Amino acid sequence: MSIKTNELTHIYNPGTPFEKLALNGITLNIPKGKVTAIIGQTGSGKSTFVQHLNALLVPTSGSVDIENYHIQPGTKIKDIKELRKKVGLVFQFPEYQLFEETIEKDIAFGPKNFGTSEEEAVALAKKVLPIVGLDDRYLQRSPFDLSGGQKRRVAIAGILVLEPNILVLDEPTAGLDPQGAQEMMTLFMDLNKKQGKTVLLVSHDMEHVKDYCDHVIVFDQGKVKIESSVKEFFQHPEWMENIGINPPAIIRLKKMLNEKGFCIPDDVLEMDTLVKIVKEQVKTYE
Amino acid sequence: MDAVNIKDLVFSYDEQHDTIKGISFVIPKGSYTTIIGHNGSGKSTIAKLMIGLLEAKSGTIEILGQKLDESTVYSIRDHVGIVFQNPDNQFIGSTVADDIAFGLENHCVPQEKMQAIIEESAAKVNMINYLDSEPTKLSGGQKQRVAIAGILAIEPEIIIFDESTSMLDPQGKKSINEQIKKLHEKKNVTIISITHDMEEVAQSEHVIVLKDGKVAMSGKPMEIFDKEEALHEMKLDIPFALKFSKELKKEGIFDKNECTLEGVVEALCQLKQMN
Amino acid sequence: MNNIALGRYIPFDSVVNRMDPRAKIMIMLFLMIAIFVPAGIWGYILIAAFIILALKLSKLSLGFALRSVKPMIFMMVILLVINILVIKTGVPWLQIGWFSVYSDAVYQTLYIVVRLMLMIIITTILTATTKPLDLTLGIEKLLHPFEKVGLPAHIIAMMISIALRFIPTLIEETQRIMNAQASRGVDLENGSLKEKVMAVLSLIVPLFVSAFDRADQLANAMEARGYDPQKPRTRYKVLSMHSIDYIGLILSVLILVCCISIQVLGLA
Repeated sequence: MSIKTNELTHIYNPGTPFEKLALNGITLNIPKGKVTAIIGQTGSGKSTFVQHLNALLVPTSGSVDIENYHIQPGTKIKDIKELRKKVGLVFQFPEYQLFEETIEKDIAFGPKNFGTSEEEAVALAKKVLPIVGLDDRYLQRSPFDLSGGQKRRVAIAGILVLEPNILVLDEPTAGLDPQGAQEMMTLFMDLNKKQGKTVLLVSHDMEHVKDYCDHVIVFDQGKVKIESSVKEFFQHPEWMENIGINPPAIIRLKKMLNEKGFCIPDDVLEMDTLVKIVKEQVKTYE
Repeated sequence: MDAVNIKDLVFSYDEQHDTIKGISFVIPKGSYTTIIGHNGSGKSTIAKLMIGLLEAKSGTIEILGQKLDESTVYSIRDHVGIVFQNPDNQFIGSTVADDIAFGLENHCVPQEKMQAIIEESAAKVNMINYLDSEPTKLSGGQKQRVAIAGILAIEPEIIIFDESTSMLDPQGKKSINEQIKKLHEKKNVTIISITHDMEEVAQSEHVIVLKDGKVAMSGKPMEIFDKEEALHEMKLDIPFALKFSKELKKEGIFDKNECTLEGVVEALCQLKQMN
Repeated sequence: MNNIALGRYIPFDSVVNRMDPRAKIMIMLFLMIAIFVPAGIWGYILIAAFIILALKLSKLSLGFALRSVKPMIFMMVILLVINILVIKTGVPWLQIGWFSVYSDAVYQTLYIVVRLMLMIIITTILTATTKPLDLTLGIEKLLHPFEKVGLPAHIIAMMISIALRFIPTLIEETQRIMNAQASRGVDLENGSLKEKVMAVLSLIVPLFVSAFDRADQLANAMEARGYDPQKPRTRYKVLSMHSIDYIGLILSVLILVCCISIQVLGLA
């Protein structure tokens, strides 16, 4: 198991009038080398959860085990700083973390913080840039001259350069056009398939979850409401309705057809099978 | 008289590269038009030009029959509202009521009429119970609804949505899309929506596709979607319903394509009953 | 952060909360002037009495008012130490070797401390009972007469209210950027000076970039909604003075007059 939490609970501002229970006894096992989707509405606790994975937050009670690190109440960041290298956290709109004069320097910033020498950090930056689809010519350019999509790639390179085993992505495709979003997802899938990285994807986009993920974890009001395989998850449209998720188009279509007297089994998730079934049912009386 | 009539419009941010390279199009009054195109195709620039936030290098923009220039920009803004992408950066007031009031204050609406207008506009977007709420207490979708209320308050004839749902969660998206639909059904406003959402495009009446600062194509959604290869080249996709419909056509079930889920379902039901 | 009383609005439903912000600002000004008139102990007793009345009417506790002074205690102690070391007049109260404490040093410090405390408490009552936006509106209306001599009162007010509106947003943003950079190994607490400078830069640059972005978009949104600082606007919120506002104003003017009389007549 690559990530394990035990009765993880987090309370913001404990003992003040602003006290808020954000996570309530989360016990989870997230498998290694897989792509796991984390979904839930705004305020469901998913972003609080994600921040525990590289100890940006420390549990109020319970614990988190990642790789060889154990995080529990009172754990000090400086004792487990290396964890932040092992777990790469890409925040929403990561392009807002760029600040250096050149792309090379910006990407090299992370490794230097973890004690890598200047030369080595620069070499790492050179190595990582092509992975996000930008070539050497960009190294000496200012990150602020790039387009929005390119900036995001540079920001992601700034995390990948730390060579994390686990990649946590918070809405990585927000604000991109469909093609840009697809390219971004392909990049993460390559990292998963070719380099065996464990990927956690926080997303509202159910098409992405359906097409790219292996597992689904649904957060609701600080608790884990559903934990299942993707295939299983999309066979239960009622689960999605209960948590305010917009199901993928194919599932919405199935539901509409079933309401009009068609009979489409729940396990149909691919277009070609749906075409076959619809064809049979339309032509029944011929 | 058209809602928008743009002729040979050229615009440049930096004097060297033209972002808009000679665009002409007409948007009829009362219509629901979507503008699509890849990132950087000039979509949002067009929106800012239409409301006079940017000044064209050459060419003309006519809004409701009035030529847009320095002397008419303020009177044109009495008739055109725009909802931007980022919900936070267009919330000006410190409460919902204050924010809706902002536009009214600018348009010199007498103070004693404001409260009624504010309540009416807030009710239209289901935000009547939040009049005293501060923006930090609202979700993205709620903030965008307030933005719409602020625009409805000045009774515009044209409303532009500039990727208004792209930063929202699915629920927020849904509530804004429903709002747009509702506005269109009333038929008294022209809706121009800049979007990436192909399902929304399928529901509109007219589509303008931009590519590198030029109009690549325009027409009814079906006409646009028919040119699948051209769309793909422009990094644009077709909606799922149409993909499905095309498969059914290939199988000989459909004789014409549908681009909305509703359309697909209806056509299938008819086939089922016929047989 | 949550314990700081100074400058925070407390949404109580009290007489003072409902008062016209213009009246409250003017009362504060009159009392501030009164504090600076050296009217001796009787002057301060008058002002203190007025403050206690105002606290009662605004449903704020004396403890709350005193808490607002807390951040100043450190400054006051330093002041006392300096005065003891510097002022060597009056009656010597204490003498240990070279170290001595004279009465004037203590009196002088007390004098400043009392004035400072009264000023802080008055300001706290104002901000605790007045919404930031009402405060700006009050300031704008009070500055309105000066528009004739070229002071852009409404622009100043608009700037203040937007700044207030965006404080929570920017705090959130700062937190987000801090998290993002911490994920890249930034450690604000440990590390060499050079590392710390880089760490701070990695926060400030993105914060500025995003703040300018926001400002740009906000300006567009305001302009698109017909805002033009040169043009007349109507206002949604109107202020109106009631009897309580006049009573407050008259009382504060009376106190000011008393303090000045005490000083002029040499009664202090």
